[in-house]
Amino acid sequence: MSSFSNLFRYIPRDTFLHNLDPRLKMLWYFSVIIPAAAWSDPIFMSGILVLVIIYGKIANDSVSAMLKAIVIPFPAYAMVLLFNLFAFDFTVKSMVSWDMQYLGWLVPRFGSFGPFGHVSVESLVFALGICLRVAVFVLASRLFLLFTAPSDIVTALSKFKVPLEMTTAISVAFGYLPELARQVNTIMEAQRSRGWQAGSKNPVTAVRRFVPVVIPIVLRSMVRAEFLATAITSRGFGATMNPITLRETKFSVTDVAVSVVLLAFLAAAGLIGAWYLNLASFKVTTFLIRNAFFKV
Amino acid sequence: MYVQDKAIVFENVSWRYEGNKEDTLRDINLEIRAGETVVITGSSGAGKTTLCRCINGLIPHFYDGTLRGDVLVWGENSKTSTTVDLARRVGMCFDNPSNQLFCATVLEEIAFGPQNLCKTRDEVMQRVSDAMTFCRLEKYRDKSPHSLSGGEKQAVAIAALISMEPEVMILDEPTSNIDAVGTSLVFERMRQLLKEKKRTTVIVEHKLQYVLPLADRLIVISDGTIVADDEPRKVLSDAGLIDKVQIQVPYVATLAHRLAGGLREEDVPITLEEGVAVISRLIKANKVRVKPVRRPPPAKTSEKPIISCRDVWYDYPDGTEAIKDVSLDIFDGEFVGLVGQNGSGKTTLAKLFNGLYRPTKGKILVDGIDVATASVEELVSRVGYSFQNPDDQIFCKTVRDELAFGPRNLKLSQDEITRRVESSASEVEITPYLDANPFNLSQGLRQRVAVASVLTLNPKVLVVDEPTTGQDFARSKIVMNLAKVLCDRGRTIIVISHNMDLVAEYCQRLVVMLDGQVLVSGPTREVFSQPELIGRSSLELPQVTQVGQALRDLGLPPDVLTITEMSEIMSGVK
Repeated sequence: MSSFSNLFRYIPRDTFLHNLDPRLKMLWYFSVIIPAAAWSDPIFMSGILVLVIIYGKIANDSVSAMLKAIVIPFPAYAMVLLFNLFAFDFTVKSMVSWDMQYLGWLVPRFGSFGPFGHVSVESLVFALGICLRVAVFVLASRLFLLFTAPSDIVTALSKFKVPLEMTTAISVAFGYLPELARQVNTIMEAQRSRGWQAGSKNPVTAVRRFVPVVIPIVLRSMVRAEFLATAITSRGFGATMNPITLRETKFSVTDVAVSVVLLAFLAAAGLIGAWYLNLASFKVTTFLIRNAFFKV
Repeated sequence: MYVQDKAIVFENVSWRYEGNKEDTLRDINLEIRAGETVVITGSSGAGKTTLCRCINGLIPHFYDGTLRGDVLVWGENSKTSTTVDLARRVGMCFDNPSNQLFCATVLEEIAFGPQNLCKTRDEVMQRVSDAMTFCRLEKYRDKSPHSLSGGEKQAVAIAALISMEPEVMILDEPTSNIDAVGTSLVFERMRQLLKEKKRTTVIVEHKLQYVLPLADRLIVISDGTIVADDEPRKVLSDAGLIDKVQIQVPYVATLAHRLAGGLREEDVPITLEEGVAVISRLIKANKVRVKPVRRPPPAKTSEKPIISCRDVWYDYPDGTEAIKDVSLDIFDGEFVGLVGQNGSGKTTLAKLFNGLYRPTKGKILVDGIDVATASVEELVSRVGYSFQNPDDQIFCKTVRDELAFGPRNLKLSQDEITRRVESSASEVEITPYLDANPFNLSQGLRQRVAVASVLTLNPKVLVVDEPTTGQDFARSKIVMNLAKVLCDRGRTIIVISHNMDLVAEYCQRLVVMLDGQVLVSGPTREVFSQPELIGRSSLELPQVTQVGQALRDLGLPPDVLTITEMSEIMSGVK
């Protein structure tokens, strides 16, 4: 848990991305997230992922840390793959106007049991596109948090006229994350010391097994929330609706140039990519694979 | 007519929290003059924190309840002022640093107050810079406050207070959750602050030996009322009162009282140096005679190790070496103290004993079983681990269910579970509460529930982690007495603690950790008679031991552990 929070935290550095205007950092985040949400084709999703990794290098992030962040949602990748192998024929097949290229069954027929999970090139390509989307989301989020101080997020939000109470809540949530991670870890250790173990083959039992951990976490968090509220109140919160920001936010020439590039990229991603080049589907990669390996 | 040199005035103040049946503060009358440093002490639950909340306006504006009487801060009535108005004049630092730090970096944490109160960015940055320099936090500027040690975290909280430049500073048990090094760090900063920028200061504290040298006045609160309010020496000269309200006065003061059979106000020592001088005078004036020490041979412990560590290493997942080449035996039936400063590896080592962590290298045998390959069930039924805060584990509706949680995890029969629940409840004396909701019990009883819920696993070894942290002296002794009883009944006890006075009183053997290694391990008396080793581990010898070592030339033994022992050595002369 603590290593998880370490992967998603601000690390002060003197890089081009760190020094951007906080509002521009948000625009950067959306310039990556929106195409990733709109596109599905693995070839083009890979392109976005490579682009995010390049951004990571500009922010002086290590490749190993980026890989760790990409690997974290492994259970999500596995679920996406399994879901598509078992449900693709019911959910996505209607998008396919050609004959599917089937590779076999995941669970073969045993007497009257099965078969289940009809594996096709299309289902695998579609699942890969979704997994790459998750990877882009996770990595882009890591980078955004890596080069954006929580106070910068608050500054940017307040420039967008988000209420002070909300920006402070967001700031406190970011600041409190490491302590919450430590608290969760302590509670899990305390219960493990009494023979508690997480997980079960039965999903209902697996959920019920978390009750001894969730209740102390919720109660401790509620108590702590009261203490934090008193601490915030005692430090003059509410004396002004416009607290002094730690950093002057003024768009420089570089900021203007970068915002033009990012907006142009967003427009291209939306208009040209999703609609004209049809990147929102999974057809380009599918046709390339079918042509290369199945001569279809 | 209000006199401007009165910073804080309480006029017949009583306060009852909503839902409570009794007042937490009762008819408090108090005046604190501008520039005074006032120390408030008293047992847990006496009303000290509530009194502080009245000063900075959290009461009545944040907490719900009934306030009678008036609290005036620089003449302004807290009922009609807002918390923001009061925050400009009164700054407060709370007891647990983790509960008051909420920003992502040290810089942002210290800047939060000035950002709300200042007019310009330059002013904010100037105040932040001054506070950061004063508390020597420049190198942590961009770090998360939560990644710092306990002492450093509290230094950040104090810097955040200083940067608001309040006219009144309140520090509510600022060192209750930190070790001796952190405590010294905090009070050193406070000493300098009061020297450089004299301002009205209220400090709530149990550790009087650290804080009294700073104090102009000492106020003792008991059961919501002020029972003493005077110069510290005058308050401490009333031995009857001290016994009655159960506060931990500096050991030198207690010792001097016992030896002299009562002291004049000006003779009451509040620092170690003063204590040594007073006792030295008593000995030289033949008012006290030092008797030759005849100690019974140490109680024989088992020669069978219940825990055996050989060349043990443990690395955290991020690669940090937490335990380095530790070889150590814990013997059956021992009462062992595992001590060391924050981050020395004592808790990590203890968590290796019950399988919460598995050694990276080396071997740990617990009751003959290899920790590396044993199952969780095998280990938790041999080594029980009672965590510092009972609220980290309590989740059931009744104490009975809470106690049954462990045995149920071990899949024992219902009859066996019932037997163990009743036996453990009886062992820690909570049988009358078995059907009570544990969340409705007091902190002390919840701690007993937590210990009992581990005892139901029937472990041969019980690890008690920081049982005295955040507790007053009387409650700490209750927990340690419970551990002693369990040890006397045959269990092996390992206590992790910062409180050297209690460790000296209860532990037969000490294991001193430093930087992931065992610095020294041996009988408590032997370990404490090596001050240079204790100094290396940044621990502090019990005050009574320090007195013995300072007066070695006058015949005092250098390895005295408790006041009772010291009194016996020097008793017989009035």
